Amino acid sequence: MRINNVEIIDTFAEAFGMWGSRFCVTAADEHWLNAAAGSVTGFATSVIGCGCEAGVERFLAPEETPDGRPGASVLLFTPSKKSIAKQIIGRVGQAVMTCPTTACYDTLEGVERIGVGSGLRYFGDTFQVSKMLDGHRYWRIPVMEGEFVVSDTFGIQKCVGGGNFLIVARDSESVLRASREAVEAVRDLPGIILPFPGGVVRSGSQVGSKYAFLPASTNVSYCPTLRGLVDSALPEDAGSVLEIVIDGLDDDSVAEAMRKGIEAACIDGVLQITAGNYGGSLGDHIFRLHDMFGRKPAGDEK
Amino acid sequence: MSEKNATVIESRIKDTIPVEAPCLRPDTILGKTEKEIADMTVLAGNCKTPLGELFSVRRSGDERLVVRGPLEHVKRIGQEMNGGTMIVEGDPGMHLGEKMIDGEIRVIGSLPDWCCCNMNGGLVRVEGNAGNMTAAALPGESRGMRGGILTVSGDTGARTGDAMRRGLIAIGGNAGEFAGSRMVAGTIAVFGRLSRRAGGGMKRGSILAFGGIDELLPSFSRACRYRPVFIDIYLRCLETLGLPVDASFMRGLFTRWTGDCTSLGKGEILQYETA
Repeated sequence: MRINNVEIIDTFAEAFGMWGSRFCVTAADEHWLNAAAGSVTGFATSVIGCGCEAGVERFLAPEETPDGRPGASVLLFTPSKKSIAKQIIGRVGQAVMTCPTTACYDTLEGVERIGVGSGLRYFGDTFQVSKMLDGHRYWRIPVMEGEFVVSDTFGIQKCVGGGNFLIVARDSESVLRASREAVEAVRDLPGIILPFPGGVVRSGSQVGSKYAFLPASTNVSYCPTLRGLVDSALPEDAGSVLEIVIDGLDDDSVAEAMRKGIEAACIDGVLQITAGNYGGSLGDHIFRLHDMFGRKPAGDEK
Repeated sequence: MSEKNATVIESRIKDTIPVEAPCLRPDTILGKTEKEIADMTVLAGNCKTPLGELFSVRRSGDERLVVRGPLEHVKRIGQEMNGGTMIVEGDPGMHLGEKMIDGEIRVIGSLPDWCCCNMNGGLVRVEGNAGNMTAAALPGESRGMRGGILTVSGDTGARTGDAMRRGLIAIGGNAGEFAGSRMVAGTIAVFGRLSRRAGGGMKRGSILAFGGIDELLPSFSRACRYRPVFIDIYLRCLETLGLPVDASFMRGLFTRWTGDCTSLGKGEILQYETA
C-alpha cells in the first residue's frame, strides 16, 4: 500500500490500556496560562521514566472555560488507576496552584472519580472554602496571591496510550519536515495528546536490553547507524527515523490521529511508514496501519 | 401561560380563610385524573375539604402543573416537592416551596413572608418580590436552606437566607436587613443594595454585593481588594437564570469583608468595587 508514493508497511501499532483524566487550567492571561500548562505537563513524556504522560489537548477560548478566562485542556495518563490520583494531585498542587492567577477544573464526566481538590484543600489550613454549584463542588484555597479554585473531584476513565507510527526517511531533513507536518495535522484533534517534545520521539525503544538492569533500550532495528551490526528493519537508503506517539481517551481518537498523521507525513523524501509493536504480545490495543485507510475499522481491542 | 400538555388548577377562593394545600405539587398531582385530583384533601380553615370544592381542575397533559387564580391565602404550595415543574401564576400564600427537595417552581408573582424555608434542593424562580424570612430557618430550626437555587427578580425582605447551610440565593433587586444572618455556608448574591446588618452572626458562607452596601456591621473587618475567580463561575450560572449580570462584574475587583467576629468569623461579604 502506498500514499504519495510512500510505502505503508503492513504492520500494526501496539498500544496499551491506561487510565486517563482531562482537566482544564485557566489563568488571567496567556502568559500565566502557558506557564501553568507547560509546568503541569512538563517531564511527562513516557510512563517509563516520568510516571505519567501528559500534554495540552488544546487551548480554550474564554467562552469555553468555566470561569470565562483563557484555558488549556490537559490530558494526563498513567498505567494504573492507583497512580493517577497521586500524579494529578502532585502536578496540580505543585505546578498549577503555585502559578499566579490559575484555577483548575475537572472537564471529564467520568463515571469514576478521584479526589483532587478534596486533597489539596488541606493546604488552606482550615481557611479553605467549599462552593457547590450545579452539582459541582469547588474548593477555594487561600494563597498569597489571592485564591486558588479547584474542582473537588476529577473524572477518570480507561484510555489508550502508545498509539504510534514511525516515519522512515532518506535523511534527517526529510524526516524532520515530515514529522512536523504530521504533528501539525494531529495536534488539534480532540481527545488525544502527543506527549513527547514537539510531538515527536527520536529515541524509540525496544523492550529489554543487553544490560540486565535496564527494562528498555534503544530500538536497534531502527537505528540507521547500526545497520550492519544488528538485524536492521530499515530499507537500504534510509538515513533517519522519527516516531509519533499518540495517547488518547479512546481507540477511535487514537486511530483517527494516526490516520491523519500518516497521511500528512507521506511527503517527498519519506520512504516508509511503519509502526512499533511487540508482536502483539504486550499491548491491549492493536492499530493496523492498512486498516486505517478504509479496509476495516481500526483500533480493535484484542 | 400555555395550558398545552399541562394540568391546570385554578383557585375559586373568594374569602380570606387560609387554605393549606401541600398536595399542590407536580410529583403528587401529575399523572392523576381530574377526578382523582379533585378528590384530594386540603385544609380550609380547620376543615378537611376536597380540593375540587375550592379549585377547578383541567388536565391536558402531565408535562407541568400550573396553579393560578387568587392564591394569597393558599399556603404550602410545593411543600416538600420532589420533582417536576410547577408554574404559579399569581401571588401565593406563605410556605411555598418549604422543604423542597427537587424540581422547579416558577412564580409569576411575588412571595409573602416565610417562603422556601428549609429548602433542600431544586430551583425556585420568582419573577416578583419576596417577603421576610425568605429561604430562612423555620422557628426552632438551627439550619435554614440546605441546598438548591432560589432566584428573586425583585427585592426580598428581612433575614433572607437566615441560618443558610448550603445552596444559592440570587436577588435581582435589593435585599432587606439582616440578609444572611446566622449563615453557616452557601452563597447569597445581591444585585441591588444590600441593606443594613447583612451577615449578622454568620459563621461561614458568602454574600456577594454587586449593587452596594447600606451599612456593614462593625463585627466585619476589611481583608483586601481582589478578584475572586469563583464569582465568574457563579455569574455564568446566574446569567442563564435571567439575573441582571453585568459584563463588568466578570472582570471586576471586590473588597472582601470577613466576619461576623461575634461568631466563628469565617464568613465573607464580597463588595463589588465600581470603577
